[in-house]
Amino acid sequence: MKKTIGFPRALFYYDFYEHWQAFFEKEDFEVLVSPPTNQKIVNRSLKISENELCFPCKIYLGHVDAIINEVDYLFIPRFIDFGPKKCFCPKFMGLPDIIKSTFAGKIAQNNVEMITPTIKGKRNIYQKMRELKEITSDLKMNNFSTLKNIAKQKNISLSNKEITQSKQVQKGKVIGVIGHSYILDDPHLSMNLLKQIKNKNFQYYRPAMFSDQIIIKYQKLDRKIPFWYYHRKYFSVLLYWLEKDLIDGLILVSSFGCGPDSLVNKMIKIEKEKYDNVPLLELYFDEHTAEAGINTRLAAFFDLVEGGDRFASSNISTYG
Amino acid sequence: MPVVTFPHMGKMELPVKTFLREMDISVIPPPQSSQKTLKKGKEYAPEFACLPFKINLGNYMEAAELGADSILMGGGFGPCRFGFYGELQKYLLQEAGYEMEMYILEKNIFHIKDIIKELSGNFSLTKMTRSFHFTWSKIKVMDKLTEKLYNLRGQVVNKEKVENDYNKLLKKLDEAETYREIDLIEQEIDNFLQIDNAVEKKLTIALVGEIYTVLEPFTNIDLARKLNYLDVSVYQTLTLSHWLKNFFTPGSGQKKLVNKAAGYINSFVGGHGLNSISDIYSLKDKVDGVVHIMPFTCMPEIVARAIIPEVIENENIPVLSLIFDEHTAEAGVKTRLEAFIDLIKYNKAR
Repeated sequence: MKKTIGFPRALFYYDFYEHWQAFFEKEDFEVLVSPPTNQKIVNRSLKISENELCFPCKIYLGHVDAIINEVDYLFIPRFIDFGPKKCFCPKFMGLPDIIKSTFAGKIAQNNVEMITPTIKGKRNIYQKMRELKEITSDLKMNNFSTLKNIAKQKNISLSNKEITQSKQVQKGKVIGVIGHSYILDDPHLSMNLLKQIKNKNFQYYRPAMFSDQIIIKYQKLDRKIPFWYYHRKYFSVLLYWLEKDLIDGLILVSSFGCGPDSLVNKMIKIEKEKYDNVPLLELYFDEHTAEAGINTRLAAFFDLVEGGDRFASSNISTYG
Repeated sequence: MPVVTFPHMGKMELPVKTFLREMDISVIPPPQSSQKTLKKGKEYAPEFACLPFKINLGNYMEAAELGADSILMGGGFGPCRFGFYGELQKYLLQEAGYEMEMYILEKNIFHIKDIIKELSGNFSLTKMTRSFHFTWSKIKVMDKLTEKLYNLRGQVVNKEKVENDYNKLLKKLDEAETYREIDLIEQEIDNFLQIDNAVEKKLTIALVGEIYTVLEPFTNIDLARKLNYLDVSVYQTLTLSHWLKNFFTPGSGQKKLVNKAAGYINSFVGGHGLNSISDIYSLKDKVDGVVHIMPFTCMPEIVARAIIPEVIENENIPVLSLIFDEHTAEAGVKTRLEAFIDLIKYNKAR
């Protein structure tokens, strides 16, 4: 019988799932992904999680809870960094430990094993092999033959989707959306933000559309740019957008209690001040966010973007 | 000549002042952190920034009003937000209309050397090394003094006397200019602070958590003193010398801490999240209870906080976790501390 590996549909799922799924299925495992976020999962996650965690982290616990009874393994990598000055949030670093202590009873009861490779260091072949080795030893697979198989398939990469070419379609007004994939790609969490933008016939850009190479362009600036991997990219992408005049409006999406966001969003706002003609909307999502509030603000923002230069110099208050 | 200031963190004022004076850099320390400081800082700081960020910003503003024009601030590239403080604060000060130069000390001795050289009118490498060594010896004595105070004040009846002695010695230490004076103070610590009327039953509480909150009495509403006045000795693993050691040699001792945490947490999570868990676990037989404190939204400590319930359950050690922010009220903290101590006493008597 095939063994099942549980993959919670939250946090790094949106950036890193595809390659890992391909890998596990090739090695003859069944991958069970938790269902898309729904109100039941949200309610459950609020019950079981430490209440100071940020909302996406809480959701992660809810997703784990949804599948923990049906799997043999739980796949929860420990993201440390992607090389110097590209670290992850402490909650990513401690995630396996948080899961282990929150679900201690259920893990013991269902005999679930955790696969927790440590993702650390520059994204080169050595690091990836080390991570693979950790995974294979956690899965008690035959190390040598697996590694040999993987070495043969050179195109397998266990990092994020590597985009080599930045997509740029200029048609109509373009809105830049800066926010974590785990908020934007989760329709329940972000109240269908991206779809709403599309329905209004706006184009949107988001950091995930741009390659990581963009970081290199801005890291030699004579200033300190954020050292979290995600935020380093967001900030570089923002500088790129503003420099090339690619966007007509900017939406900052963040979740309540996100640590890095609290500082970096301020930095982004300071940077944006230099470009007067870009209206800004700042949205915070958490368990108390109501759809009506978001929709009103979005509608007002869309009017502003459409209205163009008439209102250009003023920002919308984000406080309602 | 630039006039240098720096943010407060507990008693850090003393060694920093010593070092800068030795290096012939004119220095104006900001006034002690107060509600006024916090009010100034939070006006310009982002809403969800952690408490130290807001207090530091207020510190600079108050120092600027006294005439300081340059700031020395720590940096770093760890996952903790502290590393990004200086950079953002630089822009926020501009926004607030203060013209100040920000010098961010990265965790690199050569970088620090360059900055000190720029600030000092009279720089030499030997001088810097010598000043550094002198300051370090002061820090060590200061930490010993504080440790003694926290331990003793909980055991004696006449707490004011111990406090007076402590303040006298601290003032002496501040004014000390030679190694000999420092040595004399170190000897005096044992003689001066002695138990006269010991309290009957002695409890010891460990204070762990985020370093700024642990070291800065303004942020934690003088928690150590409050515990001492409840006749409880306080044991603190985080000290200024510990922080500085970690600042100059990041990553040192991590493996040891992971081993000490006994599988509850298996990795460095930034800041002192790992320290909190490993301290709670390794001190479980040595102390009667642990108070874990952190500022609101502190990321590393949130990880620790999520794991603490499991440690409490398995190891049977009482832990009180408190969060501090600008809205924390003294009465609320006091009530919870008293209830916590009562519970420990009740459990012990049973």
